[in-house]
Amino acid sequence: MAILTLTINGEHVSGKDDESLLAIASQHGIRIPTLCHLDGLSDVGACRLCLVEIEGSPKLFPACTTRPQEGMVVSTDTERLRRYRRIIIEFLASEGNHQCAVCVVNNHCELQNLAYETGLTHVSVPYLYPKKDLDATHKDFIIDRNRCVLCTRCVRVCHEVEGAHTWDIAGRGISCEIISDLNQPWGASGSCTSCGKCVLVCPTGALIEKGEAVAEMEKKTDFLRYIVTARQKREWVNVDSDEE
Amino acid sequence: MDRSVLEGDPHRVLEGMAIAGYASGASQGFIYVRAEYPLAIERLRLAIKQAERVGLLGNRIFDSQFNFRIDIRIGAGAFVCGEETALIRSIEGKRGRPRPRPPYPSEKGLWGAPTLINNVETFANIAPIIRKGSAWFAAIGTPKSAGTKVFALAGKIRNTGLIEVPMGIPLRKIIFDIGGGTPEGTTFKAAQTGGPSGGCIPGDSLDLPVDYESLATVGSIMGSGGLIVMDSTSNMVDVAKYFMDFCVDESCGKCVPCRVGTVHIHGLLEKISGGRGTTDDLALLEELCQMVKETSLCGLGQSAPNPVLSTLRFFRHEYTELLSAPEGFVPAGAANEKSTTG
Ligand SMILES: Cc1cc2nc3c(=O)[nH]c(=O)nc-3n(C[C@H](O)[C@H](O)[C@H](O)COP(=O)(O)O)c2cc1C
Ligand code: SF4
Ligand code: SF4
Ligand code: SF4
Ligand code: FES
Repeated sequence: MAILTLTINGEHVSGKDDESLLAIASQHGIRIPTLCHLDGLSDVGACRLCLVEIEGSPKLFPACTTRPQEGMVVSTDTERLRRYRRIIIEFLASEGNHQCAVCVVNNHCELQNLAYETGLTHVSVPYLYPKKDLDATHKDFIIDRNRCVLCTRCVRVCHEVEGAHTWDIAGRGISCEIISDLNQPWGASGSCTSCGKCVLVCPTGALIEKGEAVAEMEKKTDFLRYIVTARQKREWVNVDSDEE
Repeated sequence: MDRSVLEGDPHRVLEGMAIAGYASGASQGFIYVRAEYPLAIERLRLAIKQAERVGLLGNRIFDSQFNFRIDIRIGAGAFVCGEETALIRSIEGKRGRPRPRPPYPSEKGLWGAPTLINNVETFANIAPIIRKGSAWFAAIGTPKSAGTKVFALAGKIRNTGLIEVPMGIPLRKIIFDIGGGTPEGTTFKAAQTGGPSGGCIPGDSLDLPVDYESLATVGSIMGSGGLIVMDSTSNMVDVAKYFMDFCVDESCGKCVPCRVGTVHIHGLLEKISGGRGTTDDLALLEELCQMVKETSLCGLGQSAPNPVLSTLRFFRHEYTELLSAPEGFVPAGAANEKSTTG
């Protein structure tokens, strides 16, 4: 591990060579919009909101999966990036059926927040009105695929943290969908432990708890950091026990 | 094109792979071939058996310390599984979805190990180059694009089929000397190279040498060697729409720009080709193409807008004519069909 110095938006910053540009930026109070990234989960570089410019390359790089290099000059907030981020949010809005007014996470939704943050005022592409299902067979939770942005946070948290691997992606392109257990109803899933982690990490109202009223559900993702840190530091091991 | 090599001379590919394995210190090779090529798979299997029998593959090749095994992995034919990181995941038995690079496969590839990944044509060239020397190979083609290239000549042309030509050959020679020109009564309009990831070469560039650098100057690519000829009856907006339709189907759906952007680009092309497009639609089309190209995760999405951008560059009037389409307007290329259907 080495400490490198680089420039982000004209500011000299330092970071470790095994950290992402996103992590380094956030340590220095520089906010980069993200959706598929979540602290504590692996990164997939899928939503493309965190794209940044790096001097000397015409290409754009996802901050969540890009490692720093000594002397790198990074811009996170150019006119081009702002425009592209807005289009990404427009794409996500057009791809689902997001009726915010009747959604239980209304005002607590990451997609909504990103729309405000990117200054989205109207969607210039036509809405696609897909026909998607809602599955309410689970005793505690509901998945409404109309509100899914395919960030795969649920897939990763269930596989990487809970270890159940209930969720997967089926299909290709615009017909991709999140499915449970080889496309069985969630309620019939033999792998789901009903831990609720996927519901908490879902950025939208796609995964929700039963019995929540409109605009009432607030998602908390902090637990993930605690679990992951605790595991890394083996905090759950009782050092005083003399079992061995 | 690659299939013809696998079917016609599989040993060339096996030999190239074994040499590459020796050079890079690998002891295991995989050939990833789609299930839709059963003859190629059958002949590869036979060739691997033959090579193992005479000690050209397997343990202690030529009584040396070098061991090299080749196994076949059969893909289900998703276009995106040709993208190297998706291909690697598919060989691992996972869903063929690309991941961001770096790390490149040479650093972290199959099962996390450093991996060399090359195209069939590349491997097929290795043994002859070693046998005859690099000077021999470099003497064919141009200084920067050495050797030959196999093209699949198709479309509005008299002689279709596979051709092997030296790099740098003028397009005119391919179209007229080898292909015999476009059908009776039509004129050459453009040639599309690189399939859905490529672009077109317009009629006034017939003297363009066909090599990597020259194709790049007109915004196209060599790709796997598809060469589709369009004549005066072809409508370029329809050509662009056809390729975009392919990309909509083949997008893996992982990243937002390609998953959703290709659908919207296709929708705009549909609207414009149906005569319902406005100048705003055309501006939006260009913006979305640029955005999808610059923001997509893998080569599929990054190159998906190329046929649109390329036809917009050389045949923009075919788009603009459709925008202000007056009553009874006949789009370019439709004249012949119109007159036969009355
Ligand atoms: C969407 C997509 C599809 C591809 N399909 C193929 C293919 O069918 N065959 C192939 O050899 N390479 C294909 N490629 C390119 C490979 O990923 C890889 O870069 C190439 O085979 C490397 O070989 P080379 O360096 O010898 O050319 C594809 C790339 C992309 C982005
Ligand atoms: S509730 Fe827990 S186990 Fe069940 S799908 Fe969600 S994360 Fe997986
Ligand atoms: S259900 Fe939620 S967490 Fe899962 S992919 Fe969809 S939006 Fe993301
Ligand atoms: S560009 Fe298209 S094919 Fe490539 S990862 Fe994104 S969605 Fe998948
Ligand atoms: S947060 Fe980096 S691509 Fe989604």
